Amino acid sequence: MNSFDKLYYENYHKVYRVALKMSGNAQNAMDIVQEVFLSLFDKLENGGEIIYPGTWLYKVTVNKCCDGLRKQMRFATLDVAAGNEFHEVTIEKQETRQIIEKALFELHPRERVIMVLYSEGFSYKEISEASGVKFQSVGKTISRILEKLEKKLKGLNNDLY
Amino acid sequence: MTCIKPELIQKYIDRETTSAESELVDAHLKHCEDCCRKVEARKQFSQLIIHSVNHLVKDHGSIPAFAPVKKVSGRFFVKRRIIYGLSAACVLLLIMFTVIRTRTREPWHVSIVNTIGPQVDANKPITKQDMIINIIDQDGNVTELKLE
Repeated sequence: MNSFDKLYYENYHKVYRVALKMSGNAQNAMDIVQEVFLSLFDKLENGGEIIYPGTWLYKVTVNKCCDGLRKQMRFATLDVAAGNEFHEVTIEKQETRQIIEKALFELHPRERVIMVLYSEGFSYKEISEASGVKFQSVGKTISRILEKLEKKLKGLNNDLY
Repeated sequence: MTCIKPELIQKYIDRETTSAESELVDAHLKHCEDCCRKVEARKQFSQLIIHSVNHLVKDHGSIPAFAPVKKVSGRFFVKRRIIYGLSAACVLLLIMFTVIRTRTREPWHVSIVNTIGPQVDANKPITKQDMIINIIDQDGNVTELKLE
């Protein structure tokens, strides 16, 4: 297994998760993943060197997702799950979740990037490297986005609170 | 004592505070119920959002085999662009040369023969006499102009 294959199989799911969370659509996510690894393949083929492949992959994924969203000029349709896939959760919880997902998809792509990376359990340093936000501003940005989401959710559904 | 800023609360929840900041927050939370509530509420809301975002990924699926599509080199497009550009420039130059050549073509050989008209008035100066000008082009056509 060469270095590209190793990187591909090690990082495929991580990249896919971020792409799916960003695009909200499985097919779009797969296309983005393909493009990301194609970029990696080309870079390695042309003798390019990547010191931190993980960070590089996330950065490229995030940029491609943002580019795609900007081109679409509207957010991708929500791939909201059908009810029968979640027997363990109540209808009420599903509704709440759908409201939250709607609010998430109404965020600016750059803000959504932060939330997606945050949900992946990244440290502030990793979020900063992948998103391009200053390290000192990550906490402030997350706090601001959460406040924004809270306001949106209050607006969308008062019963939530 | 002033209450903790939302930014610091967030850092505290995410365990991104320095040891000095953590001590400060811990000390404040011991005697500020309002901030305790804020921290707890923010912690719960953060978790709710994280769960919701993670919920978007329902199935990872299997990893498809990577099949690199042989991309057409960017240089090819650059070369093609240069070829198109040069071709267009050549055509433009050809048109320009043709136009210039047409405009700068040798003039026709025209002969002008002027004679005093048949009715000569001796009382008038020569400049006031009727005059006939014959313009003969290179094909031999004669155009007669009468000046009175």
